Amino acid sequence: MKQQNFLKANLKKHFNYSYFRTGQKEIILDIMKGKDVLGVLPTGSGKSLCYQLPAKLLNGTTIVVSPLISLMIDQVKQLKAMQFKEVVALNSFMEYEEREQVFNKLNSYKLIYVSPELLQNNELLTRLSQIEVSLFVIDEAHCISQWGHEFRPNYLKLHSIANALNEPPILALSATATENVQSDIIGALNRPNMIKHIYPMDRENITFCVREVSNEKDKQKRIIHFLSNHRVPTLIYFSSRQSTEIVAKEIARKLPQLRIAFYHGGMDQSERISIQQQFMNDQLDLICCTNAFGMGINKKNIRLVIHYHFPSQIESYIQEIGRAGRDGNASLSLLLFSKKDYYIPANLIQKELPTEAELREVFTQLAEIYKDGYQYPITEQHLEHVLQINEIQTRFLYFQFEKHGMIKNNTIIYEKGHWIQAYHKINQLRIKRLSFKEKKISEMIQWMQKDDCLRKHLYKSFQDTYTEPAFACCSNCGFKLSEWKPEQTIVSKKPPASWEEKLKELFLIGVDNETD
Amino acid sequence: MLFSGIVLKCCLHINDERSTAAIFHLLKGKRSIQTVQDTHIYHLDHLYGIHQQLTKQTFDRKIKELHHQDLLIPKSSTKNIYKPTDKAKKWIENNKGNLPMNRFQGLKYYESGKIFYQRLLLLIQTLTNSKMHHLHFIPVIDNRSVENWVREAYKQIKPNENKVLSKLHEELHSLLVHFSDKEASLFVNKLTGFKTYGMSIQQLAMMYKMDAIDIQLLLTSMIHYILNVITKEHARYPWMAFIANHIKDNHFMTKSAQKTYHLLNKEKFSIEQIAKRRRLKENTICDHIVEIALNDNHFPIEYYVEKNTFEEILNAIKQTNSLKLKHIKEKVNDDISYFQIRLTLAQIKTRLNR
Ligand SMILES: Nc1ncnc2c1ncn2[C@@H]1O[C@H](COP(=O)(O)OP(=O)(O)O)[C@@H](O)[C@H]1O
Ligand SMILES: [Mg+2]
Ligand SMILES: [Zn+2]
Repeated sequence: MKQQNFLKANLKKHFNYSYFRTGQKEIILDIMKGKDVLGVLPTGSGKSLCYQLPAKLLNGTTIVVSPLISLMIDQVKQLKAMQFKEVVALNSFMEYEEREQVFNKLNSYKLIYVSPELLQNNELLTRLSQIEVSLFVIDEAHCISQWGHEFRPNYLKLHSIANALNEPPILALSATATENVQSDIIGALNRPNMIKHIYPMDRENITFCVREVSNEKDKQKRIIHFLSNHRVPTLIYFSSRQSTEIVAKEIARKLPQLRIAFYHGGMDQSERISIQQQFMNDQLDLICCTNAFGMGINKKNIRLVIHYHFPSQIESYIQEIGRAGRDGNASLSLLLFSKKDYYIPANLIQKELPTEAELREVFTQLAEIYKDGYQYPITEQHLEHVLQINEIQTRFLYFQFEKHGMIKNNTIIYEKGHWIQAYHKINQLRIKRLSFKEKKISEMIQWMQKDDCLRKHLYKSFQDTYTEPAFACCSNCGFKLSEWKPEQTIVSKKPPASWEEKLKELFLIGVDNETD
Repeated sequence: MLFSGIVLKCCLHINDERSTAAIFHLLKGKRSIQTVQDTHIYHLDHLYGIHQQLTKQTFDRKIKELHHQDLLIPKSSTKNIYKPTDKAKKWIENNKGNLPMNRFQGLKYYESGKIFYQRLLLLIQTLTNSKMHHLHFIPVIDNRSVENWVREAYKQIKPNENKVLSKLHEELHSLLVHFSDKEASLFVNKLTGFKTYGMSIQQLAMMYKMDAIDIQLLLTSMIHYILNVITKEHARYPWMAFIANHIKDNHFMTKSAQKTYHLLNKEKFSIEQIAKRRRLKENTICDHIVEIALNDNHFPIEYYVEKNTFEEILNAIKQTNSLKLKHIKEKVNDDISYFQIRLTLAQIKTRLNR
């Protein structure tokens, strides 16, 4: 009890929150006891706080491994805005000088975010092993599992990295982890006594609506029609960067009164921040985005999440719709698909794995590089460049080459018989992963085609039951789009008529602030 | 449109003596001897480094587009050299009014312009949020040295926050009056204040129906123009001048060249000695020296290029009517090195500048 009051007081003091959310207190109590913890809580439930508060309270430094650089940078900004200053995000884009400066005072940080790739850097690892690491956090821990929805080979090395850091307690966090994935996480980290805190991920305030449409045009027409009388904070998910731009422009043309932007991973960091912040500030009604948007965004009043393209697995879908209705108010997930869309995700996963011919080609080239007596270190970037394959494929292959001893310490180790074996193993794995991903897609498609309760089927592989929906359940349980009546965004303020007025407004000329 | 105009202008000045890559490096502000020399020789100082985020892809696409529009024609298909057509000259002439080319002062402001703009944006965000007692905002600018500067500036300003804010408003207003309404409104829409986040480049492009790249270039031209005005009339724009103040001077030399400069000047080392000492190739040191010559008005060229040699090179330049090293080299005595020719060219340039 004493400990609980202590935690609550510090929650108020450092983060200005009055209460813990579901699961937070339980997880933090175990962490403060030095236990290893696996936390599975839905998106938006506040998982970050489960290590941010301990980071403040524990003696040494907390290290957080996070797969997305943009996510880390966002978190650091938010923490700094909350006056949590002893925090830094390490990534490979840092300028040399800044990096040196930071490396030289690692022990002065309470919280260090780092990408799994950077943790492969020996210098950093050595330096980190010299400071007191009181907690090692693995965010998005499902990346550790080959059967999770976004496998990151480098995550498998986290076990040995934890060893190098003198085996601090580990906290693994994820929003979507089936039981298989959970045991993969615990197994890969080799911490059999990890305490599991698993919370249901169903969202009682989200209504599901899935609609088949005849084609692309029809899809756009319906969306535009729906948006024309539902002005609420909205996200529309697409599977490609280009389509976010095209459709955003189309909607903007048809509905000039809506404030619309697009967002994808190909945009500059500053551009992305600008769009995010406008959306947070309710300056935008609608964002057309790829799945690059959303992680770490915590806008409470997103009312509507539309899927223009369906995701390639249920896990991603759950994560994406989870951004709606954080405030608990009635929110809607609307998924539109046409028969043509069935092939899109299949094409996308093709890009994630090499074909057999490509694999053979890569082996041949690698052998040639070896025989030419190539002197320089063979890194992932190097491989990507020489072999002309994309980043995701490179990541997969490089990891396999290391695993099969074909590359060690950035050097090629050639042995013909061994390579032939490795080739077959990698090819088998490739086939297995491909069929796994295809299975995932067909699960998603099957779900979309269900004719009984969508809610029931959506969550069934993650949990046994779900909470009764707080509002309408789903389009198969009688929900009609026409009956959805959310509170509309009212933009009362007229936009300033001239730049001069706008400038005046921006500078708060004539606005009283009640001090001095 | 602006981007097209800029590329065409570069092609006109360079007059098919360089490949398009040279233009790309110039606009991007590459810090190499070659680029710096090009900048001077072809009188493109004002366009140096005006688009530092330019990607090769975007640039190549533009060249292709201009080619398709018959504004550029390839000189030789292999070498990526393009010549502006007569149509291009007309095009520039016709669009003169819409191309704020003269505002750019790339070589002078390629670095300080960026910092000045970032300071301005962050300072406005800080002061307006502070006025509303809202101290937990996410900074628009993600740059440590700018954040540090604003933090210090804020400490100084805090006691007179309101007054400074309205002065800043007045100054910015009277600067923006210099531009067209469209330009001014674009500039204002990019600003961030209290609970209003500035628009992104892409959004502005959508709103003003312009290419994103032109928005970027237009903003840069405005910043250069503003900097120029406040430098000239700092008494009239004290707060803007304050923001522009103490931006690390434009050390145009690369860091490595600066080191060489030091060894050369203070220690009186020879090229060989410097190369040995710094474990660099002698050629690299020669590159540095050319860079130094371009920047130092008092560079003792006689030390490396005797008077006769200098004259001989000058003659060759006149004869070939070209600034191409290769052409010049063909016309001079075999013992005259490329290094000496480059130094001579650098010298001519610095003299012209004065
Ligand atoms: N105890 C709490 N009280 C109020 N807000 C909280 C609390 N814990 C977390 N939050 C807020 O919830 C939002 C989502 O948190 P985040 O850690 O990003 O979620 P997740 O990682 O689980 O998706 C953040 O804005 C965070 O500040
Ligand atoms: Mg999270
Ligand atoms: Zn239902």
